[in-house]
Amino acid sequence: MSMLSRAATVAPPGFNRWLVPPSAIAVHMCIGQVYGFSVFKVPLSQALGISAPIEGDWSVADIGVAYSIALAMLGLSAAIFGKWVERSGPRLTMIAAAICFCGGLALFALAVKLHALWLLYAGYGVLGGIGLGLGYIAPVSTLVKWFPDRPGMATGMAIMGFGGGALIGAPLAQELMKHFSSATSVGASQALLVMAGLYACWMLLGAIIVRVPADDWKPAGWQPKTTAKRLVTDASVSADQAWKTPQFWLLWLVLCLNVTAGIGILGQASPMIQDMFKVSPGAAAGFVGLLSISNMAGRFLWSSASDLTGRKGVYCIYFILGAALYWAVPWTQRSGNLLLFVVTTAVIISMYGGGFATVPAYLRDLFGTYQVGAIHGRLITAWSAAALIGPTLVDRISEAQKNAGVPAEQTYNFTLHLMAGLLLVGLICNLLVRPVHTRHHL
Amino acid sequence: MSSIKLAVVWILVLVPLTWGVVKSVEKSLPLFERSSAETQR
Repeated sequence: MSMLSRAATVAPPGFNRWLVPPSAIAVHMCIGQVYGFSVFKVPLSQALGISAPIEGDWSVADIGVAYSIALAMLGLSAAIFGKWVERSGPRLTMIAAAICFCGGLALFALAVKLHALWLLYAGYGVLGGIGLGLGYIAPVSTLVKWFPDRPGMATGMAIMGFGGGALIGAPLAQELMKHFSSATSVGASQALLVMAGLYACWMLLGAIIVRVPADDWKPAGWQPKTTAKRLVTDASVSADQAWKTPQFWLLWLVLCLNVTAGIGILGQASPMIQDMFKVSPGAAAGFVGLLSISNMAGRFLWSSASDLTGRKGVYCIYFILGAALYWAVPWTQRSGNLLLFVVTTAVIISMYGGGFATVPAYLRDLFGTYQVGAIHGRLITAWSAAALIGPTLVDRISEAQKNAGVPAEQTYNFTLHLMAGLLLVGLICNLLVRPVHTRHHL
Repeated sequence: MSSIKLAVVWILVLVPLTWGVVKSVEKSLPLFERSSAETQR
């Protein structure tokens, strides 16, 4: 047990800090599989009928509930276990995350085998979701401590891995299901077991490599700037104190609104491009793939850029440029310019990813590194809230527009303008962020 | 030794990520085919 303790993971002198980002990416690219969950929906909806759904098969909506539970548990577990993560250190947390997440995948496989929906919810939704929350925050707070000179780039690398997880998880599941499928099975349970094994290897690799810096460690030759930026503190704020500050709740809204707006496109990408440009379902799937790459790249690029612009500055770019681009999307449809539509939406989604990746560095600026993982964990509840609000909002509005007889290619216009409005509200919240009052400092 | 260890762990994470990106690019090719067909028209 001692080799798992925080003390045992303190890096010796001369340790190369560039060993830590691969550890963080290894964990994040595994848990990012949750973004690729949808590839299981159709095969599992015909797990009994094999070639087509029959009576007793799960509905696509029933299967989708597991995804919602997992995302809700991600936020809840990150918020509840955040302080434990800080105390226990990243190695023990990553191992716990591997056990929960990969155990969740194994129970998912068992649920398919036994055809037990409740086991899918308890296994992948609850247990896997706890693994998601633990695995999400531990590497991020570790990297922030290793890269005080470039915290945006550091968190961008880890969270880029999460975006990349969808790029790996979806095709991997499809290839494995194709390999294992037979006349009597859709191959999902075998595919899930293989994935559980592979992901366990990579997550444990991350846990073995990870180290935390000694308390007095600094990058060689680096000195904190004497002319410090106003929002960047070298003081510490505890997690319990942080959420009593207006800054925490302003950032909660900033993240929630940015994510809600991003989901406005991401959740509807395939039907949107088919309705607006009459492309084939194959080309629409290609568009979704392209957005996933953009989401991943944006996490690293925008977050790295925030080291130059400052966190508040880069969020102003997300909100102002994002609102302008959302407003422009219906115009790209009217002009019939598919390429311009693809580029516009790709930039929007890159900023959606960037918003996720920049927020831990923003928290570090405002509250210091002391319990930044725990504070980040509590802030992630904004993501869970947005994951519930965003798709519901978009689905309801699109449905209402269609029922009102609006032509298919124009049914998204109102939603897109609404998302632009939400981003402007986010801009106001961001502009209201001020340095944390010294009475909150430890 | 440290350099080899560094290279190995980076390769271990970059190989699956690159595979995922390549798969996504492959998937997105029909979109570009449609775009270039439009341009030619």
